[in-house]
Amino acid sequence: MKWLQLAISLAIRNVLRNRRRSFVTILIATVGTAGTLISGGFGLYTYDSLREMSAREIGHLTLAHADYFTQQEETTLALGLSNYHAMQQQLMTNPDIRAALPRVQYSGLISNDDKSTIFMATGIDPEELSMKGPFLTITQGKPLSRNPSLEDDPQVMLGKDLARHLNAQPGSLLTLLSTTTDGAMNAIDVQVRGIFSVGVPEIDKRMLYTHLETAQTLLATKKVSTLSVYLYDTEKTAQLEHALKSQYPQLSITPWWTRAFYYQGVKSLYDRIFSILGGVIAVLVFFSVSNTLSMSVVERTQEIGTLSALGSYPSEIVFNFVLEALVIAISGALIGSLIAGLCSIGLYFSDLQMPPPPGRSASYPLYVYFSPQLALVTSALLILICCTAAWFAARKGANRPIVEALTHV
Amino acid sequence: MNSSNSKSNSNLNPQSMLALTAIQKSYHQGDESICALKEINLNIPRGQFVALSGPSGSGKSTLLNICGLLDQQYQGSYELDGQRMTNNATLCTQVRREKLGFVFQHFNLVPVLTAYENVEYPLILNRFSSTDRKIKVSEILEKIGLKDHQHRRPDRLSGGQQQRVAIARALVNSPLLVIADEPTANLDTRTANQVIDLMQTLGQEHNTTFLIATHDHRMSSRCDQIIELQDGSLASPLLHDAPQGSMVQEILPHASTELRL
Ligand SMILES: Nc1ncnc2c1ncn2[C@@H]1O[C@H](COP(=O)(O)OP(=O)(O)O)[C@@H](O)[C@H]1O
Ligand SMILES: [Mg+2]
Repeated sequence: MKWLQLAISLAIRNVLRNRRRSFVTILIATVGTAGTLISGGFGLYTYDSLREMSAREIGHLTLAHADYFTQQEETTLALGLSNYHAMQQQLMTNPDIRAALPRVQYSGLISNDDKSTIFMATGIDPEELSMKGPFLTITQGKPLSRNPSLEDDPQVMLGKDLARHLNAQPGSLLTLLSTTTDGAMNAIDVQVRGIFSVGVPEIDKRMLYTHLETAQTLLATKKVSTLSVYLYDTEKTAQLEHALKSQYPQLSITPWWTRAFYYQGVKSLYDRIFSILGGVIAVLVFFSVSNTLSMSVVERTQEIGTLSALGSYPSEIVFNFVLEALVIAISGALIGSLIAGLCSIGLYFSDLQMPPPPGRSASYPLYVYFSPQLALVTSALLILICCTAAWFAARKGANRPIVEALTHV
Repeated sequence: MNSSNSKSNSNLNPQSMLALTAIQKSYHQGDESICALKEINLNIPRGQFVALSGPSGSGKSTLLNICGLLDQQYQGSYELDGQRMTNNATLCTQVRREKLGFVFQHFNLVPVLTAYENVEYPLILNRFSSTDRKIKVSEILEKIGLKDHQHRRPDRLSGGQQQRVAIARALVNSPLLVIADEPTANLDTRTANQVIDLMQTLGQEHNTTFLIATHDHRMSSRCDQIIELQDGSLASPLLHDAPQGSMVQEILPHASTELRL
């Protein structure tokens, strides 16, 4: 295919012909590619972090009474699970499941000797704290102990702002007040074991953790609210959801994303921002390449006339310009991807911090993923855009009457 | 396949390469219509070296554009090598590619291609094999004396050298007809003479018909035939006392009034 070989070589030489202009066009294609990849990579990283955070916060799958998420409980734990021990054991035989941990959700009043405030509590198996990994920070004291001694007071972990409100430190003694399953008021003395932050002020202000048994004693019950199922691999959530639905048809099985409202909100916002950004970049690149090639076409009118006179078909001439655009697009895509890749590596080692996102109090490391799929899709789109622009620009020049083209100055 | 090797297939006049009958061409500018060619009848045999002369604006370029199939907007009939030319753009492109060659006043080499590649271009369009291309290009570059400069791009060649490359490009595919519009207008006398020599020698070797618009006497004095255009009509032929003077009869453009009904 000498013809194609010559056409490619011709395209490269023509791109090099007006170096300055081609340089600017390639620069725009490069910046467009790098911009898309870096912002997209940041989005992917954010989604990934939020996904992990949400899944670890509430468990990949939540098993509950069929009406638990749709109806209000008339009495405490009316819609709880009682046979959770058996289910726990059954679930743990599945190799994809890392843990199945019972939770008791409850609320009430917490007081020191001087003042009281509302709390939202979760009675947990202390193992749950290790599931949360980096998404729960113990700011003071220790996490709930794995094997609490029965002589000591029951332990509690307070949200950072709740602890401050109550002037509590590790070791402080507090009282929890709540309503039992029979509707009676009950109280229990607890000792602060640790203070934590999840980075969301709304939660840090109200939230506390106790052992499951503490909660059950306070509420005078043997039931739990839900069973949180943690997986080794977040990707397998949908698959497990399906399996558990057929295993426990009487229960509601909820994957993490239906309850991860923050994740959903951020994702839909970012998706919209990134598609607008991508659209703007695409339009910018299209007009820039159109402009460059239109100028080349006009400048080379006489040359187009000569090639037509020698017997080149208009389609062959248009093809030559499309090849030039391809050279520009491929250069831009390669350099842009390279820059995005280097940027990803650079940020990994740089420890730059992003300010806290809306509704959060903790900053987080700025990092961008480099996604080969995103790079491929972006490059393909860039090539498409450039070639389309070239086709439009060259079509008119190539179909001009030859005599007119030859006498063009 | 190189169709230029096929012999003339005209039944009427086996010698005729180019036959124009009642060619008329008008340019339209707004409401105005300029009649650039009026009733041109012309017959040119194969292998002739023909000059088209006449003052500026007499219609030389217009006629060459029609003969070179660059312009299909005209009235009348045009037969090339016995084949009636229609205004089908694809057919015209194919005929130009296979059977015609062009030499321009401003040389019109492709600036990003070397001398060698410029000459090779028509062979690539005609899908010659790489061995054939190599042989043909090297041979013709040798003949135009630019073998040493074959890897230079046009901007590193003088005007005369560029025009020689252009002539090589026009002839490398052994076309039936080469159209040259003022090929020496941008050259000094000495270079112009070299270029004319080259066109004549190579034209004879390839048995190619030349149709050259010129108002350069250096050129017309060396042609087999001179066709004189005046205000879009053929003037009575001026015959130059060339050695081939015996061919006068054949190459007379027949008077328009005689052959038209
Ligand atoms: N594109 C055009 N539009 C209008 N008139 C034209 C055009 N090209 C040529 N003409 C007119 O046609 C006539 C013949 O021009 P041309 O063939 O270029 O003459 P020559 O080549 O002998 O100088 C002139 O009167 C010229 O003004
Ligand atoms: Mg002219």
